[in-house]
Amino acid sequence: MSRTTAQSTDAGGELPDRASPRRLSAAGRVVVAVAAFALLLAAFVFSPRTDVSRDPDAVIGTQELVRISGPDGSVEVMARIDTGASSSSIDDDIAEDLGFDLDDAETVTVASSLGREERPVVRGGLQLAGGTDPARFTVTDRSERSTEALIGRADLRGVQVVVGQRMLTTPGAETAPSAVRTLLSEGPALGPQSLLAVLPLAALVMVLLRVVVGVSTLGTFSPVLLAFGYTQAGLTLGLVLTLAMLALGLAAQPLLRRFRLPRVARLSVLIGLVTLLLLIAQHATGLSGAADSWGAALPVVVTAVIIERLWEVWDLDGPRSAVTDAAVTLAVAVLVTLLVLAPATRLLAETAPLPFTLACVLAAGWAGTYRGLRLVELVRFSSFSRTEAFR
Amino acid sequence: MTVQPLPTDARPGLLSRLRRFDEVLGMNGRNDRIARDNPFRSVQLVNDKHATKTALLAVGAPTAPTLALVRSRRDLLALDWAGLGSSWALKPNQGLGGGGILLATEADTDAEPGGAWRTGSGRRITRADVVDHARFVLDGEYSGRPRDAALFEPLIRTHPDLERLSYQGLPDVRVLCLDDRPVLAMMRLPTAGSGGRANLHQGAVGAAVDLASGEVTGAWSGRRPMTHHPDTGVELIGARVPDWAGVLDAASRCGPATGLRYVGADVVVDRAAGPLVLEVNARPGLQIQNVTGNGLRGLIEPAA
Repeated sequence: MSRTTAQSTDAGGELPDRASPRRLSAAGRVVVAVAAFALLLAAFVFSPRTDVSRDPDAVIGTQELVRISGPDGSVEVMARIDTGASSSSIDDDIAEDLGFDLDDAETVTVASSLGREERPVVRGGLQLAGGTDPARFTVTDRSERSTEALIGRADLRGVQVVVGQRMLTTPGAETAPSAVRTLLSEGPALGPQSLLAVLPLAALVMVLLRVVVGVSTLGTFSPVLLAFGYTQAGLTLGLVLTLAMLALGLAAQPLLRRFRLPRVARLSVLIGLVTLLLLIAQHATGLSGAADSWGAALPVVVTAVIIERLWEVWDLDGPRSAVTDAAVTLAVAVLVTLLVLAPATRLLAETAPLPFTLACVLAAGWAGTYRGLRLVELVRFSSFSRTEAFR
Repeated sequence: MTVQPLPTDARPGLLSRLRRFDEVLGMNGRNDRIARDNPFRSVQLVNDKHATKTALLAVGAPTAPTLALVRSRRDLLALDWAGLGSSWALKPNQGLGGGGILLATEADTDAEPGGAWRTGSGRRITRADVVDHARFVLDGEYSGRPRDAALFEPLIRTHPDLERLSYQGLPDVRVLCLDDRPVLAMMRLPTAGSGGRANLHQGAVGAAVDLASGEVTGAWSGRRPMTHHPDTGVELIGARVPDWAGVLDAASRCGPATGLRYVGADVVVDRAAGPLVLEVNARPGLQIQNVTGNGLRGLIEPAA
């Protein structure tokens, strides 16, 4: 087998302009590129918070924190937003704590999912997202329900409710919470539609991290999948569970090695172990409130593959490399989580998904044409830069 | 082509250090180069050790002969065990990163011929152990694919001049070639830290080799320059690669044999057979720039 022609085209193609001494050096270029990338990230993550005061455009989710006020003060409770109910209702314990006089209150007959019921009616204040409005609550025993308050149509005039999502509005605050705050809360913060819309952006970030910064993770897109899990489970819980799963996987390694299982069986056992851990954790924390979907949200298969990769790195390059790679992977996952939860990202992805996706695709392609040094290569070749070659 | 770590008082200034990065070929540039210059078929070819050896032999490049190629469990049953001899290497034919290699250094004298061997560390391996390992190889355990073949080759015994420079393991010479022209060369010397492996990122010492003379001009362990082997204390600077002309000749045939235009040839020097091509890399690493102190960008794209 011999090589075909094309021997003299060695120096062909696009040569960089070497003649100009003012050209930015390769090291300078990568620093500028990384700085631009970091600036863009920061712009998204720390983007100005969107206004969610109760103007006609206010958007809330199906579960939000509200402040209810009565004669003796006010209290913040988690409320279910239910446009299928005509009026709002609160738990009788809260009503008593707030000083409402239940014995002399007028009553109404309410038909609820539990049947017909005579309920006292009280008048207080309701603070939802923006300003406070007077509201009428029926009082009933809600201790068996998922939330202590339910807000019905009568008190939802002018707002839009997005089903299946928590906007995490804070009573009294004029703005939506920042990405960091959203991240630290529990419960799904992004609906499936929004997740789909921010996926291209997450992929673009992975391209930039790889090509410009030089970050290598356990699995090319595994941080994105982890990040999407974290948007559903909340960061604290998600990270703790991921670490527990990685530790369990590493601990199981000697046993699995002993039986010399083929890869597909090893992965299956790992998937089973990871699932088992999730089930136990879910059981232990009690399937309460918003947390009912996080078990399914964490990427089980991807976690198993990450564990397998971790073993390989451990074997080939030692425990230190393995721990570093795992830490880098988790750090990138957190970064991506922050980015997709940032108010600006969500606004763009939800209001203009098509142009947004197209822009991300184009940017990813453009980033892929970067042929210069990666940021980590400035470190890798630092000893080279200190030497002089004599040829 | 030599490299000298400068004394501290003569370190180049920041600006000239930054300028020096212009000579460096980074991962992005390398991948671009590979995509342009290394055809897919050639990359596939060098992933198959046996096919590569056939291609090398066709252009007269020296490489280790094949004792047996086991493609299936049936082949394994029919294997002529005594014909393997007293020392051999069992490799996954499409192995990744040197994983899954089993070495027999001598026959176990208590057993019948082809019954049991000893590894380099003296561990006894029986025919059943070898069958077990070969089954794993056939199942693609070390190849990242569902099936593979197991390749038996005669064990390479390092030339004494090279063995002296290394701590266990098999030292080799990595020659980076553009087309059939060698441009940079380094020796990779296993250390205690690398566990006998010749991979630089696992702790092997990289020694810059002068292309004209085959003489070691500098050595690095990671980012630390050194003059002596860290485990044995043997001086590395000034050591010569035996049969250097033969090594360069073997390396320069790898490109034409495989169709790769940007290629890293791993050449070992056997004490009996002389230079042998151990492996042909379609995606050679960039560390050779740190070791030799020469940037690849300037070599690949000469200033206009």
